Amino acid sequence: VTGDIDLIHVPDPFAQEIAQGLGRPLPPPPARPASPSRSHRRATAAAAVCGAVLYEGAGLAFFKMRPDIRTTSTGLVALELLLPLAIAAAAMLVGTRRGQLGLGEPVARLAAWVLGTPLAFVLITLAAFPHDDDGAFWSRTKTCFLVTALLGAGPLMLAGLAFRNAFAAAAGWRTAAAGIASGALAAGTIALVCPDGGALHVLLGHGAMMVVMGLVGAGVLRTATRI
Amino acid sequence: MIATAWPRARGELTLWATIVQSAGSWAMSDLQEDTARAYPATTASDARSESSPVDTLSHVMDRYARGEDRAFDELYRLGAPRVRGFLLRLCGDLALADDLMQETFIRVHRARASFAMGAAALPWMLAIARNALRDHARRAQVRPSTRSADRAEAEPYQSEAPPDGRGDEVLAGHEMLAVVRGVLQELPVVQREAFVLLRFEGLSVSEAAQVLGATEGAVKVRAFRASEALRAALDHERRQRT
Repeated sequence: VTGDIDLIHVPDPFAQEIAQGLGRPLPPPPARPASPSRSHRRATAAAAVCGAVLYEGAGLAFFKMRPDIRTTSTGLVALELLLPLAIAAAAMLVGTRRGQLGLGEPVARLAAWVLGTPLAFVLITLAAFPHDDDGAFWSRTKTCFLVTALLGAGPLMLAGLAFRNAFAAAAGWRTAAAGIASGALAAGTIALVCPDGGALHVLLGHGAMMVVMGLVGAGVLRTATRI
Repeated sequence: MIATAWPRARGELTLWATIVQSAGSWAMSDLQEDTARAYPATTASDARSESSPVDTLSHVMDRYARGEDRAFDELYRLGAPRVRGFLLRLCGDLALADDLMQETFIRVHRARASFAMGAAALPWMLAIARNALRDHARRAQVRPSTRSADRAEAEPYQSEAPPDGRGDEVLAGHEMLAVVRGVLQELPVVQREAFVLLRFEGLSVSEAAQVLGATEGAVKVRAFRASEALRAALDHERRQRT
């Protein structure tokens, strides 16, 4: 901008006063309670990741592995599992990257990821998975949706704890990315539980939680994670 | 729209510069000297130079983030004047700016662990200061306290006239600054933030966009609208003089 319009010609109404110390000394430094250092935060983040993996493992043990895992097409199961996990990893990476100034990725890039990853999931699912329905679609989809919500709630809460006071700018987009990652992790886990591989079922019963948790992240976690 | 608006803005701002200069009061060199005294490093390139105070600030913040508690006093000494100036420009009230500066440093302390290794501390602190101001504005809107009501009625921060008076020139200069100050306070907060960061804090569009959590395009539009409002006010002032 400074190249296009000559902002330097706008006089700074406070420059002189600020240069002269504003006629008032700086207030004393505020009293401060104990706060975690960087190494503490790293340990917390590592604990949160381990906690999320254990939570998903416990969920898998509780809801039991799908019985047809050995007989179903390996490619489809792998895709159903790996696609959400790849989305989870990418969303987490883009949400937590430090960026050029340590304020995270630029908002345009964050927005592209946050909006683009669920869209990519929709397109790939519709293209790759079979479109068959045996009649009990809504009842099974509703059950899977609730189980996926349960599987995603743990990682989302852990993300809230790990990222408390973590984002100085663009907190909404970054917590949305954390929410998408939690939803995607849950979608990956439910793929090992649910034998229904129909495109619409995978989309609504498993993948919709990415969007839901992205919205929850942006709406609820934002306040806890913003500095 | 922006593409067509920018060249127009450029032309108008040239006119604007003439207006400012034709007031004859506040020579550009004076302004630049004042700015340089206030902020030893005011441009993005300055902020990246190795020996700048901003770089020292980042280094101290890095030490503090690693857990060196004693670094806080140095961090406060180096960072508080910048944060205070930024907040004063945004809110126009020194007492409020001081309160929010302290709130900012409490938040910096709480969140020190999230300061990225090797990152620039100043934009990070400015983003936190902006959050503190926004939270204050939100609280004041929901639950207006006696104190904030008093502040709303209080006169904005005014400095005393400089002792080395230059008669009409100094008076005209002060009037010009009062116009800019008044317009800045009346601007929507998103426009004021963008303008202050670009013009007075010396950040680039990309840096300001990251501090504000907005896209570069949005920051350009906000700064453009702010500069349009300032240009119109200064133009009006000039017409009244003549």
